[in-house]
Amino acid sequence: MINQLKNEFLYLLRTKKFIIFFVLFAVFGMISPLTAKYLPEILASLLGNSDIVIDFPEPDIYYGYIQFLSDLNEIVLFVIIFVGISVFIRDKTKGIYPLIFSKPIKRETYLLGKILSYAILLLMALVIGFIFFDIYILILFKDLLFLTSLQMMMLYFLYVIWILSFTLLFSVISKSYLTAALMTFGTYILFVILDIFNEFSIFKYLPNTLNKHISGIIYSTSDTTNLWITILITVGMILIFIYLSIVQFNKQDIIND
Amino acid sequence: MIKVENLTKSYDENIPVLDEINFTVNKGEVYGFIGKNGAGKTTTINILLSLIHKDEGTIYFDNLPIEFLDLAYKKRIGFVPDVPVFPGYLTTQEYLKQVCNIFHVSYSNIDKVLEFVSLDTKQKKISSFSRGMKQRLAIAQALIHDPDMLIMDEPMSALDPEGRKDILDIMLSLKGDKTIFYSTHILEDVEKVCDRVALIHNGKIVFEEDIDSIKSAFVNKKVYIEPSEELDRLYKLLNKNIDSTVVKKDKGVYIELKQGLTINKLLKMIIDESIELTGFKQVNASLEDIFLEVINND
Repeated sequence: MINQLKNEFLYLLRTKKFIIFFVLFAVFGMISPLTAKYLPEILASLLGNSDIVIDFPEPDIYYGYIQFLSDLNEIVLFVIIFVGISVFIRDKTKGIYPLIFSKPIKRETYLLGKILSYAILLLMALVIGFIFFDIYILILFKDLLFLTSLQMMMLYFLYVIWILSFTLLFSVISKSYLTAALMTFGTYILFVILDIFNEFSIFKYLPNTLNKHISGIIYSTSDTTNLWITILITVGMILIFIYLSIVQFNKQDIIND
Repeated sequence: MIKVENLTKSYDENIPVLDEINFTVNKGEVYGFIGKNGAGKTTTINILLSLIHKDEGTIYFDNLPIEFLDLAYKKRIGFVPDVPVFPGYLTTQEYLKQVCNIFHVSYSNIDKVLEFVSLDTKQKKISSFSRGMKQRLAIAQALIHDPDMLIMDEPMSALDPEGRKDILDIMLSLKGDKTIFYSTHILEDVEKVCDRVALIHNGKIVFEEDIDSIKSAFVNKKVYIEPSEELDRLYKLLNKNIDSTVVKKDKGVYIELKQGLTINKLLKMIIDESIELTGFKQVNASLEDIFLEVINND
């Protein structure tokens, strides 16, 4: 496993994915607090002397956190998924499989190496992003909710790993990048739709409700019991998706004639 | 060393790609696995490498049956694909170090195998390699753990003549030291390196013999006749009176001896027509002739 991880890290390093994600998270770590602080002023100056009046609330530190969460979900998440599919499916679509799997490599070690290395990269990038975010929050709002930042980071990381776990499964099942992407986003959308019906008890613990819990943590309104149940369900679903990926990969014909 | 029994594989239920094939590769021999494109060569190799499942049959390695994803067996083989695809972002040394780690062998093997395949590109990125260099690297990575057996899937199919000769020379230098399972449709190369040959056609093994036996079975089946003049008359005469293939080439004609046509009958026919001959010889069949005859007769 250590060798597999070393190989994967070398791949992520050489293909500049480390730099891409470090820069991406750092940029959003800076932009989000700036947007939260100055967007009302920017919009007000853009409206100028027009008759339109928009009443913006005074930006506060909480809005900074919500803005960062929103940016992570609306932009960064899609980059994570697109790059993730590429990381997981590249060897298959490039035709590298025969040289890899003609050697004594356990298929589960290969898959675990893929997702683990990518998860470590994302965790490191998240830490960098949150360091930049906290510094900018402190500078702009003269305050810092360090524990909230930490909880937010860990929960968002869990959320991302959950998405990557089914991305891995669909990358194993699919023969092409496009199919894997369609299946992944289809599943993502399905969970978003299920979230609409969250008054049904089973749906309110689905992993995608982690975002609501993060908002709850920011405003100190989170239900701790529900959060822990959601975390357990998310971890369970991650393990199930990874297990299914391994089972599927182990019985698969990996060359298609 | 490797024994295949009743190996069957179908991608489509009604069309078997491999139809109960049997063959044995003995220790230390270079075994040519020949057949035209689509005959089932690569499918056989993919099954031997556990890249795809077989439908039926058993594969034995050193008399022990191989299971799907058998890692112990994979430690003892090396594989050279037809078109090797490497992670292009790595240098030769980085890639071979990864292979050494997989097989738990010393990095000192890297220099040895690179010297053996005459590849002096340790620090060069693989993405900048030519086809020939990639093929040498493919052989290097297959040999780095000193395997008992080398499986080569048309390793020269996409190389230029010079590259082909280089790889052939490498194979010849391995001969006697390694067991080689060599799949190809380039029969000229098979004649140069192989000890035994199996011909696969439409998913079945048509024959499996050593090269000399195959050739002797097909020897004296072709003659070359050269008239002093009147080549066209000779050609017309033969075409009219015999039911064999007659090919006009150089200053004479090549005739296949089949369906009761003997040399005596042939010569009598020519003498009766008072055609003077200046040349007559029996032509040994090449593997290619044999291959074409077998396939065309099918």
